[in-house]
Amino acid sequence: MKELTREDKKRIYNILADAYIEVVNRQQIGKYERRELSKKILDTVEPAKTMEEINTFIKYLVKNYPFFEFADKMFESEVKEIQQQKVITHLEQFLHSVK
Amino acid sequence: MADPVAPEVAKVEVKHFAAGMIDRTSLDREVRAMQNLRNKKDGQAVFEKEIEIPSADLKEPNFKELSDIALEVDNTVNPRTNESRQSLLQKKIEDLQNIITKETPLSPRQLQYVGGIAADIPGVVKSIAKDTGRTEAQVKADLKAAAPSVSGILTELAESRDFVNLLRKNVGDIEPSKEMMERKGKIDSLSTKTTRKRAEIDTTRKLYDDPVNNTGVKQWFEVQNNAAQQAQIINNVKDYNSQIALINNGQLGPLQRSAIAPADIPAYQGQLDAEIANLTGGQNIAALGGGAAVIANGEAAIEAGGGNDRTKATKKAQLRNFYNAYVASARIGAIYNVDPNIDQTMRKYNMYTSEMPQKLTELSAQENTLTEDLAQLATLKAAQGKDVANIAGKVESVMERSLKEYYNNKLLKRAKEIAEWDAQHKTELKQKDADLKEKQKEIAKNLLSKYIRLSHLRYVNGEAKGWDDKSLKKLVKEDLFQHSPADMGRQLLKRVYDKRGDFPDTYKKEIDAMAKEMGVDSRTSFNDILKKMDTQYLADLAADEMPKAFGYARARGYYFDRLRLRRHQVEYVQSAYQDSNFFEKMLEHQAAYLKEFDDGTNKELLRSIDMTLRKLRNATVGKDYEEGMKKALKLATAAAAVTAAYHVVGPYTLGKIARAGVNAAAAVGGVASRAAWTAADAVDAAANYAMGAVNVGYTGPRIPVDPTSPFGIGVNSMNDISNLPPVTPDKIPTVQ
Repeated sequence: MKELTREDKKRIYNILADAYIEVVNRQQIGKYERRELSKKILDTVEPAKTMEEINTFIKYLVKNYPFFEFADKMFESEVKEIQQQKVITHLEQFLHSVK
Repeated sequence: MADPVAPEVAKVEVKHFAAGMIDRTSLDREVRAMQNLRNKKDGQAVFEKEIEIPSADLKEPNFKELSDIALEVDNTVNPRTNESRQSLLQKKIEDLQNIITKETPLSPRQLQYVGGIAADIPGVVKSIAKDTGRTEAQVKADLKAAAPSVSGILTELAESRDFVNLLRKNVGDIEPSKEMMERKGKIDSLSTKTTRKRAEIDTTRKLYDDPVNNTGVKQWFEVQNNAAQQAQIINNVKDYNSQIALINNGQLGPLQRSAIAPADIPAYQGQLDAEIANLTGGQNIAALGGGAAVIANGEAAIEAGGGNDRTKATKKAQLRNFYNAYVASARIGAIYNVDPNIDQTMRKYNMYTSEMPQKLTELSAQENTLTEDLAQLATLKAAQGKDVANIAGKVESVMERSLKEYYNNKLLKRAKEIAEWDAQHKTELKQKDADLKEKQKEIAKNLLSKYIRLSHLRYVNGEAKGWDDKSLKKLVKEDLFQHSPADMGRQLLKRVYDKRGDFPDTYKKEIDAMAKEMGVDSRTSFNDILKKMDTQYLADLAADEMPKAFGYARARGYYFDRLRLRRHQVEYVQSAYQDSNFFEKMLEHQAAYLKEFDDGTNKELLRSIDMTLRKLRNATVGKDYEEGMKKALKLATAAAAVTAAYHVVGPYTLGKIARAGVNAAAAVGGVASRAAWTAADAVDAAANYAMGAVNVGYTGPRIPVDPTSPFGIGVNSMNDISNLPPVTPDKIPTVQ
């Protein structure tokens, strides 16, 4: 898989932030662990190179922070979209290059 | 409006706690801020803001540090609990960490940790007990075990932001002092040093002087060897050394040896032998004769060999060297035979003689230092131990402190606020309820006053056709003696309500509207409201209205039925209705009732009664009323007719007729005879007397009843009268 671009990461951060804000709103996370979790997210997504790493991380999040469960589907579909977009982009690039 | 009700006392309950734990306002603010950031910038910015360093006064808990300190806590295991203070403390730190950071879902042990503390807060226990209906002891046990019945509130508590923040702040405040840190450094380095020194001392001791284990060289020499052996050793060593000196001769050139292994000796000797042979022109030791002869013969051979004097001298010296080495090596070999471990022996002996004294001196100094160091370490450790215990104590109590602080400052206050709001709300509801009840009473009174009369009429197709005599009879004969006053009140109201369908439409509509105002709806029936109405009020209503109903009955002639009342029944009625003016009231009402007819009110009723009156009139043949009566009732005499008329229309009516004078006389059939007058008078008098007889002291019939009259008993009976249509005095037409 191709490397994650800045744009991809931006979208991933957005998806995670939406879920995260909902969790805070639902009062399912305390202030201290909010900091921990945010740190964890930044530390994982920033250096991530492939979508697979992101997927693994999201699975880890959903598993260890049960309140993220509701976001699981959302992650799945949105992340899948990014992946699909990438595939399409690559396909297009390929087609263009084949000319 | 009802009087103000007694306000509800605010009682703090579990649900008030639960409501109190959520501080929505500040949370909403934060969430909004995050959303703004997300929208204006991006998700990453949200997370970056979240990790910003908190304000200086907020110290983050350092769990690693606390865990390290915990390792210094006493770890003697209590045989009963199988735990040491250290292990318990470590568990607590683990639990605190998880409760604060929520790294993993809360374990039962962690909930029990919180529950155990909550069980010691009486307010919490009381509230939960009240809410769940369990006893306080049961609730305490539940909390300590984090039972399912309380796990909800414990989880909520452990997840409440405010509480966790407070806990985090309190744990963060628990930190070792600078002094403690420095001391720890000193202890660590001193520990390392003394351990190392101890090891060194032990090693030295083991080598040189270890009376306990007998491993030192001192023990080897002095203890493991007796005097003779010791002498032997000394000898051997001396000998060995001297022999070695002979082969360790620089003059030997390549054959110089500082040491030689027994196995190498033969070869070495061989080499030496060869050298000697070289010097002597081919004569080796054996050829030279061996022993002392070797030198003499060898030197001779060298002499004979030629060369200048210097060369000869050198050779001779060489000869001596080689031969000495040869002999020495043989001696060495011999020593090895005696003591194959002579090398070791040498070494040991060396250690014993030259090294040991100094080492032991050093050792003593080292041990002194070590003792001092250990003493210092002990002092440091003692001081540290105190501080550690202090920290441990703080950690052990932080949960309790935090929860109690939270309870007192936030939870209780907020719960109280909410409980007060709750109580106020309840008070408002109570007030509403009281107001409704007042309204219901008012409307009930109105219903009766407006419709009680109508409820005793008989309707056909919405038209009043006459009296509901059956019910009036029942009222007088049975109901009065079978119901309590309050129940009678209900009966009267029920009657009005149930009969409303028969009433003309406007009345029905009005009654429905009034009922609605009372609160009758799909869920609450009129009966429900009656059941709940204040019984004293209903009794009072009955006392007011019953006489009216009685009045109607009396007007209908049922007064006579009262004649049949037995004394105890009368007394019952009077006592039950607690109204000694009961019958006066009754008469009043009757008078009022009759007055209404005078006034021409209640036109419908009048119309229907008028019609029936006409029927009666028409039914009586001719203008002669008396005759008519006679005929109608098949009477024999005028007196009888009068009596009958009296029975039929009631004494009052008759009296009125009589008082009307001539008309009355005419009305009575033109009997202007004195007899008639007298009779009329008598009737009137009798009527008055009868009315006057309605008092407490009534003891029996006073109205003259003609026992011979065929209508004596018969006319008194209900059935006869019920067949007759109602009459109204004024409408009795004057017979022309």
